[in-house]
Amino acid sequence: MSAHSVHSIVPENGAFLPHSHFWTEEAFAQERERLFGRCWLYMGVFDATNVLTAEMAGLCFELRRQGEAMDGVCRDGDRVRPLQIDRCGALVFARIAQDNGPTLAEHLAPYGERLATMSANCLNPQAPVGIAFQANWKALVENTMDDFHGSTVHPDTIHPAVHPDWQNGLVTERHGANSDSRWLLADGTAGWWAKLDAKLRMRRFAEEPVYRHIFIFPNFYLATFYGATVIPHRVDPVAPDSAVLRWQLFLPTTRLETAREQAFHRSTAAYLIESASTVIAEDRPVCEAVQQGRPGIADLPHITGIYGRRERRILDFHQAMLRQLGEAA
Amino acid sequence: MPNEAPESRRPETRWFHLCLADNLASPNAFVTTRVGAVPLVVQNIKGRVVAFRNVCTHRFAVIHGEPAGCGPLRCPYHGWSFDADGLPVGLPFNPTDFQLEAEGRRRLALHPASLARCGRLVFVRVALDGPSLEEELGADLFARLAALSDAFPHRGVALEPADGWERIEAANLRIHRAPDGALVLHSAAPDGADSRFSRTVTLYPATALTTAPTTADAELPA
Repeated sequence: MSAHSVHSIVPENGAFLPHSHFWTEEAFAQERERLFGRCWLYMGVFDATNVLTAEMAGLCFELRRQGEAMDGVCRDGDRVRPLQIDRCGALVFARIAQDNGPTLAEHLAPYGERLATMSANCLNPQAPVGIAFQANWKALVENTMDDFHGSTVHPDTIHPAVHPDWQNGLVTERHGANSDSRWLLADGTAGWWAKLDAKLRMRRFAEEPVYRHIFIFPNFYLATFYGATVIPHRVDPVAPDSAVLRWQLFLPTTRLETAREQAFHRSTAAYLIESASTVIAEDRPVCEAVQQGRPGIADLPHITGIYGRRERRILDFHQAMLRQLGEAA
Repeated sequence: MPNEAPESRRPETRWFHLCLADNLASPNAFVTTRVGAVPLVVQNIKGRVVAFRNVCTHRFAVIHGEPAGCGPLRCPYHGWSFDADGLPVGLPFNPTDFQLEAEGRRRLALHPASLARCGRLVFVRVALDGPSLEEELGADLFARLAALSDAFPHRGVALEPADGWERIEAANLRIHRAPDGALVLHSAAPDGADSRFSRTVTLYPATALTTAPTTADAELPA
C-alpha cells in the first residue's frame, strides 16, 4: 500500500479485494464457504417466539431458545450442520460448529463489552425491516463504513443531523476488521433528542449526544443515537449482485404506562423508521452505481481507487476479507 | 486482425453509434451507453466533446446514470467532478481528506474512450487502439453516412419505416430512408447494454423545413 499523504491511501494491487469479487459466482461461492460458513454471524435479538432465522449466501440459519438454552442448525440444501450459538448481551450470534476459530468474545474484540452495554437498550422492539439492493453485499458494507458521503448522498437527512465540524466532532477507532465511529450530533439534533428524552424518559446506556456506528466483521453493525436508540443492522448476501439490508429499531423507554405515552412512543418509532428508511433509500442508488461501475474498470489495473481520511475502515474490511478468504479450512 | 469482420470481434474493440452531434451541442450535455461491461459517457465540457469510461476513479460508481441529460461530469457518490481531460478538479474535502496535488490527480484521471464523428453521427469505442471509424465502415459507407446526416438536419415527428424504404446498416446503426425524404435512425443498444440505451430518431431534410411535421419539443434550428 502506498501512502500519497498522511490522509489518503492509494492501495496497491493485492491490498484490496479484486473487483471481480463483487460480481462473480466463484467469489460468492468462496465467501459462502470460507466466510459465512465459518465466521460468527449476527442472528438477531430473541423475542417471544424464541426463534431466529437468517439466510446468508444461501445458508439458512435456524435458532431456537428454550429457557436459557439455545440451539440451532444451518441448512445448506440437504446438508444440515449444527450451530455454535453465543450471545453478547441481548445480541445473538452463531456460527457453523467447528473446533477452531475465535470465541465470540475474541471475534467482537475490543467491542464486546461496549456492545453488551448497548444491547441492554434492545427494548420496545419494532418490526424488522429488510430493504433489497441490486448490489453485492460488500458494496453496502463499504457504504456504511464511509463517513464521507453525507454531504452528497444525504444532504437533507443525515448530513445536517451531525455536527458540521467533523474534524473535531467525528472520532473513529479502528481495530483490525472491527471499528467504532462516533459523530457528535448537531446542536439542533441533540436538542430534538433531549426533548424526546424528556417526553419518553428513554433508557440511556450512556450520556452521549452522538451518532455511533460499531462495525463487526463481516456484515453486522450497530447504530445508536443519543446513547438511547439502538438499531442493529445486518447485510445479507442474496446473490453475487444482490443483497438485503436488514435492521430493527429499538426505542427504549424507562416507562410506558399511559395510553398517551404509548401513542407518542408509537408515532416516534414510526417517524424514526421512516427517517432511517429514507436514508437507506438514498444509499441504495449509489451502492447500485458502484455495482454497475466496478466491472467497467476491472481491466485497468492502474485504477485502484483512493481511500481518504474518513474511508480507512473500508480498506480494513478488504484486508480482513483477504485474510479470511485465504485461511485454510 | 484488420480483415476480421467487426461483428466477430469483442464488442470493446468495435465502434458503436451513440447519438447525433446535436445531442452534445450544449455545455454539459451528455449521452451514455454501455459496451459489454463498460459504461461510457460522451460529454460536452466547456465546448469540448470528450469520451470516457463512465466510472469514477475514486470508488468506482457510475457517474451519469441516465442515458442522456445535461449536467456536470460529477460523481453522485462523493461529488468528485472531472474536466475535459478527465482530471478530477472538484474534490470535496481534498485539503482534509486527500491532499491530492497535480500528480495524484493525474493518476486518478478518468480512463478515456475512443470518439469519432461521421458527419453529424457520433460513434464511440471502448478500446483506444484499433481501426479508425472510416476504416471499419469502409470509405464509401462512411462518405454516404456523412452526407446523409448532413442532408437531414431537422428532427421531427417520429415515423415508422415502411416497406420500400431504403435500408442502410452500419455497426449498430440501422437507417431507413423514405422515398419522399424522411430518415429514421435506429441505434441498437450495444452488446451488454439494456434497451434504455437504444435510440431512434426521425430526421427531415433542410428543404423540408416548412413542410416536415414537427413536435412541440423537436430541436429545430433557431
